[in-house]
Amino acid sequence: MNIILKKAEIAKNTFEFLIRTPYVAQKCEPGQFVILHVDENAERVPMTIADFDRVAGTITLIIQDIGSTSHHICHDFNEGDNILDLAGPLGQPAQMGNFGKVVVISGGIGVAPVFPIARKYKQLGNYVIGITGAKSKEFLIWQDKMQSICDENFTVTEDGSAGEKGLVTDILDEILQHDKVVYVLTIGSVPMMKKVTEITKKHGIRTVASLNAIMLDGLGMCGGCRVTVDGKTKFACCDGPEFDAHLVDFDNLLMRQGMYHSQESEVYGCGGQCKCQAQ
Amino acid sequence: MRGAMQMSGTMRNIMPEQPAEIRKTNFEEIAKGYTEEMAVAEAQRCLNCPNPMCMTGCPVKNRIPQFIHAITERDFKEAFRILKVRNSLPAICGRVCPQEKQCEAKCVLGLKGEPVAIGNLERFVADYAREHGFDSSPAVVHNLTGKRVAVVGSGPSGLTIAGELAKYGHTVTIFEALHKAGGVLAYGIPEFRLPKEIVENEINALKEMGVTIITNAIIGRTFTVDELLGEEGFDAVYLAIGASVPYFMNIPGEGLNGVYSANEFLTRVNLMHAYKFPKTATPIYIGKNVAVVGGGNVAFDAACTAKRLGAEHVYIVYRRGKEEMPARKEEIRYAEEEGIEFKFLNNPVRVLGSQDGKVVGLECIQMELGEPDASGRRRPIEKKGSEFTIPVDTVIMAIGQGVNPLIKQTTPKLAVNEQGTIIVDENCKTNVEGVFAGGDVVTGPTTVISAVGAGRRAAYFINEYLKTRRRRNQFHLPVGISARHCHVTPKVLEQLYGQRFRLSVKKYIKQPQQFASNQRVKFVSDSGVEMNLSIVGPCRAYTQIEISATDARTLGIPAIVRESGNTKGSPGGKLVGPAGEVKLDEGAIVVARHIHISEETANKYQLKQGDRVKIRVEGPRSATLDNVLVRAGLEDFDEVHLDTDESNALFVKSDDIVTIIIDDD
Repeated sequence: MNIILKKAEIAKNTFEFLIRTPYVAQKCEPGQFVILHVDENAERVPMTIADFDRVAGTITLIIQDIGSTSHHICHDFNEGDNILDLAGPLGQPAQMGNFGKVVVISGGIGVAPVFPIARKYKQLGNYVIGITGAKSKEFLIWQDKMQSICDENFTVTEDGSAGEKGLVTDILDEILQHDKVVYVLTIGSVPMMKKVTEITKKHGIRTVASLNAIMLDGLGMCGGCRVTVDGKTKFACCDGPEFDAHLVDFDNLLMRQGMYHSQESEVYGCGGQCKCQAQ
Repeated sequence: MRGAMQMSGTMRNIMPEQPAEIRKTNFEEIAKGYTEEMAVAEAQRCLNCPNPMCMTGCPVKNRIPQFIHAITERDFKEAFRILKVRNSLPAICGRVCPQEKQCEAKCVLGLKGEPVAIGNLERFVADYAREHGFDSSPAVVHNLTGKRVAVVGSGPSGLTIAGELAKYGHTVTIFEALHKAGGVLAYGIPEFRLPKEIVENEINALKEMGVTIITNAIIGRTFTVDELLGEEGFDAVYLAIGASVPYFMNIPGEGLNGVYSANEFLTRVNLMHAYKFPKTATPIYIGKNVAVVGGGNVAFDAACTAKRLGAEHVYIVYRRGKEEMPARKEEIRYAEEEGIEFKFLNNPVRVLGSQDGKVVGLECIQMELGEPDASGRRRPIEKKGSEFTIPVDTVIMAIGQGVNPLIKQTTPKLAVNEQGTIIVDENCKTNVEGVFAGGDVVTGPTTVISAVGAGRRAAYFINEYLKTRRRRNQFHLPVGISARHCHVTPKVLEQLYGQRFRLSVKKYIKQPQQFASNQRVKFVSDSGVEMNLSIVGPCRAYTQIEISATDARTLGIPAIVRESGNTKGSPGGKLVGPAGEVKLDEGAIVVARHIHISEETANKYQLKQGDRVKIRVEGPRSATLDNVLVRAGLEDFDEVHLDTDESNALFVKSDDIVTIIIDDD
């Protein structure tokens, strides 16, 4: 049984689910994900674990209503409902260590999977700088949580409705001018992660990105989530989801994310607001 | 329809099939099975050789002449019984075994004409048994041994060993990583070759034998092998995870949209029913022209599936010739009849894509056959400059599979060879104590029947191994919780909250022991957190109180049901949680002093007042309590209490497994 204990719309079209799933909560590490198969006719979809409580046996998932399956979950599943199948934790945990000064940079709901990783960086003695970006204030989430674990936390919106006006990469550029950053984690849209990677590459800063590929089983048996890293084929589900960002072929990832875009938009009429356009 | 009866003694009775033109538009089974008359006629062809060679060709040494003889006597029940002695999955193997390379290859009739259609007969008997409700469980079931075996993977090997071990009286739990049991039988082999109803029938039979199947449980992640043998309390583990990681060719363009592994393609269709999209949410892309790379059964399954999804042209691209193809003869014939086009002696060198990343073609190079290689097949050699392009929208790679490395990664001491397959000795034992393995995870990809054979062999050796383990009796119970109350003590709250609590007694209660129903009491923590609770039952010690379902919910106990599960529980006592404001350990059922079971359960396991048992709770907080007293419940409903001693508090959660253990010694 995977019961939804709490559900809240925490930003526009963005829902926070607290789900009781003791075995997953007991085992999961920052950076890992679960596969949801919410009912008999549903897709299997990967969702990164945004928070967990081992004692309470719960995990937190942040789901944005951007595609057919996420729409179904966000609108048809409420407190007290059971998620038919929830498997995990899957994927390799995020790499950890005492690196020194670390920047965690995310766009949209990317801040959710960033949070538990950043928290652990902090626990391990790193100096953590958070940068979160969103289109506008109404899409911004979890700034209080980031504030509580980051040594410095920056918020950026494209329209300036919250924090500074601009892009996350503007702030990153600025920080790298005067701070000795040694490690960068980025989670968000593919263009954003690509841009971050270009910047950190110039500075020669070790950078990891957590990749959100289309998955079927999440166990390594379909290969649908394959990504090109350092010219080699890797499976995001079991080799990742975190990879050395400087070696990731982001263009290929972006292309593969759009695999079913035309089919789904034809059926659901999501008019380009499909999951491939996420964040 | 094919399948006019052939009376000639040298020719076999042909099984009726859907005509190719019709079947390639549906997912119904291709072959329709023998009628009773056809089966008897075919069985009568068997010479009942004194030295039956057919048996030597069978990986599980099925008693072939005996079961065929029973068919000639129309004793189908007996035929089925004989089949089940050696093969746990006859309805499946009758359909998917490569009989022409096994039993039928050895049939003496094959020397001059066609061999007896052993596979068709096996299928007939199993189908007849299913349709007539023959009990497939063994006549003699051994007494429960109390030994517990974890089977990892629910494919043919896992299903087989589970049945065998259950027959020996062991308690078996199968862990399946996907949401549905069956392994390759569920996700890999298409409906038109193996109806899923048949697989489900086998799985249900196992459940009836008492086998537990836990889906969505990834061994290596949800539990490790060490945990199965340790905290989870299994006496042995059987690894039957198969070979499920698809190989790619590592040629340019494999990352394009429209390139699938056969695993992904087949899983989308078979497991996720993508052919019903958008009724089902899993999409699949097919296009007009499809190239399937490979010459094995999986390649043919993918090709025939693509045809059924509406592809106009489906090509099998294989680097050797027709004779060298490892696929079953029958599958090759089906494909030919359905208009699958063969591109023999061709090997892909590059997948071509459009600007927007979609597959537009497969560039191949022609091959010729050279000297035989290690596999005994002639090695294909490229013909220089012979490249050409097949225009396709979809490319499906069906070039083989390897072992998933997760178990090895999370069980570093487990010995594997270079290909990642697990190394076992002649007793199916790995180098880790209590851990056995079999099927594709040991041999690399083979056939369903080989996996069945491995499961049977391993069952024997695991049974032998378990004899060396201490005997005990234990019974799994559905979570047993009182319908009326649960128990809370300061210690319990401390475990829940990580803070110390004390019971704050209101002034008007003079004697704490005399707490009465409906009085309110308060627990206060060191940091001032207050828990206001009302007492629902008589209390014997004032550190422990019985609280109502409502209060339990406030504490984070989602629902309280009885073991028989009447309130919000599903049958079997599973707990269903409520929504709402819940702050604590969701689903924690606090059992401070005793656990409740129904009288029915107590009778079933012959638990009497005054017995001493052990209780084990398996879950995130596994625990075992010794010396638990069985006594009749105080309440007016049919309840039996299992009393722990004063000092013990126990947590039971809704997904936990509660086991009562009665030691023999």
